[in-house]
Amino acid sequence: MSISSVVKYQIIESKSGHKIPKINNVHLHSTYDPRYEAERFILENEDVLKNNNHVLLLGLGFAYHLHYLVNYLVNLHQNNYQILVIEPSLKIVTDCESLGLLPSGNISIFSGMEPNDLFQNEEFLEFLVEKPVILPHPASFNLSLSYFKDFLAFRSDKTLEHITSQIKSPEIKDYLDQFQKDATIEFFTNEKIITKEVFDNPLDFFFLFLKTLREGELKNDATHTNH
Amino acid sequence: MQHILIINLDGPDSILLTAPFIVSLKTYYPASEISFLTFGEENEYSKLLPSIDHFFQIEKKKIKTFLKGKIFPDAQAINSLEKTLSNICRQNLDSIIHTGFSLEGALLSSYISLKSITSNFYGIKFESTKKLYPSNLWFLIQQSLMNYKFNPLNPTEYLHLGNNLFFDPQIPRRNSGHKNIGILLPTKPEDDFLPFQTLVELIDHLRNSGGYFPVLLVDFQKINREYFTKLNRYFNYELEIIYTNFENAKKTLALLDYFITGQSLLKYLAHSEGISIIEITDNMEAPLIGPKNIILKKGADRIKGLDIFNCLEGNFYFNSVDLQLFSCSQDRVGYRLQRLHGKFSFNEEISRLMARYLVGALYLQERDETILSDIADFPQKEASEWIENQKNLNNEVSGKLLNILRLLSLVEEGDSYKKDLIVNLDDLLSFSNSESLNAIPILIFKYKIEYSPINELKIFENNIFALKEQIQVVNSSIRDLEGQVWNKKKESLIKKAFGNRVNLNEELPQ
Repeated sequence: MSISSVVKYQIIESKSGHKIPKINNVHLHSTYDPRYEAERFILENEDVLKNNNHVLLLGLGFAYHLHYLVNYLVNLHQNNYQILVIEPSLKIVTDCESLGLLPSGNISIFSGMEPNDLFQNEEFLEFLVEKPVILPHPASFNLSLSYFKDFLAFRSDKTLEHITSQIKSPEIKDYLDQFQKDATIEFFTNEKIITKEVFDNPLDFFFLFLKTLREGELKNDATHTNH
Repeated sequence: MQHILIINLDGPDSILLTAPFIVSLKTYYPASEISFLTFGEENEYSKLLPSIDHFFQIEKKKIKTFLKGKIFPDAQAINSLEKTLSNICRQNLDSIIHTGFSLEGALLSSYISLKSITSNFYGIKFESTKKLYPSNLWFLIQQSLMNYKFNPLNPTEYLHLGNNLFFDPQIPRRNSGHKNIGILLPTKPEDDFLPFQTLVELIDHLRNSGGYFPVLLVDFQKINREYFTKLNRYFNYELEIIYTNFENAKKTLALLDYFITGQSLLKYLAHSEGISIIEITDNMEAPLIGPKNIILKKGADRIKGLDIFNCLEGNFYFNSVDLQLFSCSQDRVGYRLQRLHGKFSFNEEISRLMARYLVGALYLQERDETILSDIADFPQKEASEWIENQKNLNNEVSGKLLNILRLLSLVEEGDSYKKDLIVNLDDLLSFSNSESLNAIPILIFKYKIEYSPINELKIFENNIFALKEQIQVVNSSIRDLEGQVWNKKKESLIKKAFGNRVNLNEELPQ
């Protein structure tokens, strides 16, 4: 399901009296007791959750599982945890919020965004650097299978053309514009910077520094050092 | 107001080693504003440094993940690094000081220097010719002598001299009735540096002496409660044991008069607080020098608690046979190690001391007679043998050098001269690995030739002539020592002849 492929959207009540969304005839939570189901869901995933205080939750539904997840992480890490939720449907998020079902805590929700946009969002990327546990909410995940598959299969475009479009500094943009658009950073530092006769631009050092961070050392014998 | 940026990307040891330098910097430039740039992962260590006004970090782990991860856009890494660096460059820096030696540090130093063209740079960075080069003579000497067996100066001294500062860590200490003796507890009873029995003996002596109050420090991350309970039980639970992290340790250290430690980063912090240190070590590569610092180099035997206690008392009589003891004595450069106890090679000791004398004579135009006087106290036979050996080596070096100078004038006349020149040059450079005192100027010459930004014959010639002059200084330094040893010999002969009837400071009888 893509972001816009909701055909039929209903909110129904479970036997236990809790609101649950029903989308394209799929119930996103148990029709008997969504809270019991959510608690079981968190306990079943305890092994992966207990060693990480960052959790990427795929699918919000009406947040019953999120509620138990927050409790679980607070018990383990007090306030030192972070949850990021991806929910393709904006409607689900707004309804969940207006029904007062969203728990409070260190939670960020990203909704209605294509994977490509998500992977350009600074907050989202900063979160991913922390290597979070990925926890798919089964019903939500299956409902938006193609969306989440695209999300999980995402690979960033590493060409200079793409990189340059996202660079904030005009000086670096100009510098990168000198080089082939389809080259990668790795290629242009190895082939274009290291082979320069003279390092006449401060950015030569800037990109060599990035290269040493990436590779651990300057492999090409272009610079002389006794270390 | 001076804006100074210090760059160090070399890790915790190197960052904390900068502390005494920052203290000096602030003493010489009290109105300066000092910023410190390091990797985010080492931020907790840089926060312990004194007198830093601004901290900047490069998020190495994050940038690396952005660059290596297939899902991350590389632009994120570039934007993140650029943001940090533009904040730094916006400061209108007057001086940039790179106190490390890492490639990363040199690359960033080069970038920041080029972006702040009006600032002065100290340390090592890349030239536009892509070669790594020190900014001034002292950093060049440090780089050249990095692997030299008798390196005459320690890193703190190089850093000071390279920045035109003098190392004089005389921080006034409070004077209370008793002395607080901090002991960094090892985490295991079988620790080599301070085994359980030694610890018990030492604490016993401190408590019984009346003048000392032992304060035991424990790194809370490596805590071994069973061991410390055993220790405290031994003393009827009367010991003061402080479980601490680095930040709190700094507060505790400020209350100490002496700090007894094995291998620990805490020693650098204690040093910057002006606390005297008794360092127990098994390698003498980078001991901490300071006005009252004492270094105990342990041998195979266990160090006795009484031996450490004696160090505090200034009684250098030891039970441990294979223990070596060094104190630090002030000289014209900073502080040099002075061997007070233990078996050692006179030959190596003279080489170590003369290396320091030579550096003073060559680059500070100061001939420190106290060094010669220390050597003259060694057995005369040893000193004379060393002098004789050095004279022979000096003759060999001078011979090679004269050959090179002769061949340089003939090099235009044919290829055979060029070949001869190269052979002689190789022979000359081989002395850099020898026992000769000439190894110092030769190593510096070698570094200059290898890393000089300009490769021209004229530069080579200039360096060869400079080397010739320096070898003459080596020669005169050996003669200085010879003179001092001879004076000492005369003194002892006169003493023998006249017994105690003559005061040698007065005029001798005719």
